[in-house]
Amino acid sequence: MSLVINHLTGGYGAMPVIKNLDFSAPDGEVTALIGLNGAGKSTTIKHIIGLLKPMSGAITIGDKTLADDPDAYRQAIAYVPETPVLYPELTLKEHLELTMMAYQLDQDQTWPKVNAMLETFRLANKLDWFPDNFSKGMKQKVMIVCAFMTDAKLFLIDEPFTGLDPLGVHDLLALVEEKRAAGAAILMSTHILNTAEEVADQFVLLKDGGVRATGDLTSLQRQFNLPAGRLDDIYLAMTKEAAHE
Amino acid sequence: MNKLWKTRLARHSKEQFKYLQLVFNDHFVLALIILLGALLYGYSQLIHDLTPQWWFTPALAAVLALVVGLGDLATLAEGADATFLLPRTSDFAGYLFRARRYSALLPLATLLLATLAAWPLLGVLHHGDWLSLGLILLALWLFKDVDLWLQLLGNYTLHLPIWLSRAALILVAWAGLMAGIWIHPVITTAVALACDLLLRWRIGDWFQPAQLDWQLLIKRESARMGRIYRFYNLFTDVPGIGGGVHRRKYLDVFTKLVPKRYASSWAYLYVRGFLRRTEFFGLFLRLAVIGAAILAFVQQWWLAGLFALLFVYLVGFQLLPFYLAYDEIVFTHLYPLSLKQKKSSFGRLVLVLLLLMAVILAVGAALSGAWLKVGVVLAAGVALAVVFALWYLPLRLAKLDAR
Repeated sequence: MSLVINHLTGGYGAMPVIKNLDFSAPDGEVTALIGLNGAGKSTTIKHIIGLLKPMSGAITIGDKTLADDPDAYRQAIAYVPETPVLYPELTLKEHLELTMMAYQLDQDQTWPKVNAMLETFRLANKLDWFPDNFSKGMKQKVMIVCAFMTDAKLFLIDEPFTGLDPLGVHDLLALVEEKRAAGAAILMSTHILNTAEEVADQFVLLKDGGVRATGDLTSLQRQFNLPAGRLDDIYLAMTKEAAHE
Repeated sequence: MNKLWKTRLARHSKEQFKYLQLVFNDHFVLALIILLGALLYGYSQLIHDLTPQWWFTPALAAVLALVVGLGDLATLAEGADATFLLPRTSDFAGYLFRARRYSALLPLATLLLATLAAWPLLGVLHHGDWLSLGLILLALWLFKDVDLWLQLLGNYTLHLPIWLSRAALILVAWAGLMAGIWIHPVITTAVALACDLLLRWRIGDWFQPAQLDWQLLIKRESARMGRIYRFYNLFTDVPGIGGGVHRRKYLDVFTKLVPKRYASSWAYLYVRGFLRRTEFFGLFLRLAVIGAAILAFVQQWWLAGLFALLFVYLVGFQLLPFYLAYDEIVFTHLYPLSLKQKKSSFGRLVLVLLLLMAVILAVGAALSGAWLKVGVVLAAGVALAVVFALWYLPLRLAKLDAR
């Protein structure tokens, strides 16, 4: 089990945004993190990558916590953020090179892989440009290439389908498929339910900073009493619950 | 409108105070005091050996007249005012009058200091008595009053005669000051008083039909604030003013010096950041050129040594915020790189840059051919570079990390 979250409570200030969160992302599977705006998806991801410190609870990746062994913990994660922010002074080529250096990847072995990805995302002719000036979608592609060149055990992808063009989404899903087949765990937060339903093996439904339900589609259909319901229907049922309370 | 001005001023003062605290931190004040002392000493030496020349009077008058031009009208107007205050345009004049009074404070103090600084020179020109000094100061204040009125009127669309411009005022002030210094300062005061009374007598007529040009007012104020923030940005991080990035391919010879290994990941980033950011690279170049120029002219070896210390210190101190430059970028937290590597890479960059600065300063000193001075500058610069990078810097970085 690559990612295990145990009773995680945390947030930005004194007020916790996520409360007593419990779920895991198994190896070789795609886990979709689903919830309304403000349900705590991005906050959860920020806790996993260590930008926020948990108030209580623990996050382990491959049996290691950030406090025990920060380098091994970070080495195991690759992350594609929702809002891409790149180094303003580095060219595309230098971003890729720096990533290889930081993750101690063999440059001769990695470059062919990277070149193939650049070709796919139509970035190959922009190696000497500053990606800071790219459009949002292109920046996201740069971050995807940086993330997917690593041998991380856990891939965190925050809202990947909003800035990318349809071709980009398709190419990203192909990369995700490749990593899943190789045995990595993938955690993806999204609002785009149709795509999530197609790609994900299991779902984690967040509501008000807690886990409302987890499981694959059949299990969710049972839990919400919606046999043959689509993920859309289940999602709506969950939001209505919130309205009743 | 009075209330609006008060709340704006309170907010503005609070913000300026916050930035001024950052600009005038303890170390900078110390450096400033040393510099000021050196300048005063140089000035007193200069005065001591001075024999009056024919051009002293016009030159001194020109400098004082130009100081009158310093200090812009601070209206604290904001972009949204053009929309929200448009219906109250005529009341807004009251706000501007208060703004004008507030804007006068700093220039009046500046003129006082300028007059005091000119005192010894006035003495050389036989006007070193209290009366002359007071008359000249009064004249300068009156000129500034006129200047601020003209700036206020400049925000209105009205057809003023050509002689009613700031440039014309500076010329009149120059002429008045020259006449005053040649004959007697009472003439300067009379000229200034005449200008001020004339303006205040006629201003009602000019104001009556005038229309406020909101766009121009806001443009001027934002340009003025931009200048202030760019100055603050030399010392600290001002949100929204970061300076740009240039590729500077010709500097790639230096980036190639960093090996592409895990251990130099942070160095890889910092070296490129320094060379391509306009902020820090420009700062280094400016201080290097100014420092080398000053050291070419300074005669005393001990003063040259002090300047070498000052400039190496300034460069080192100004580089500190660069340490935090990448904290906003998620990669920085994601990469499996240790804080130790970040610190040591930054420390090495600072050491190399400061040593380079010491060498540049020594080259500047060498232009004068005084070898004792060159030796002192090099020794002082290198010593401070080493102490700064190896002892002082780790202390400061620990403080920055703790924040």
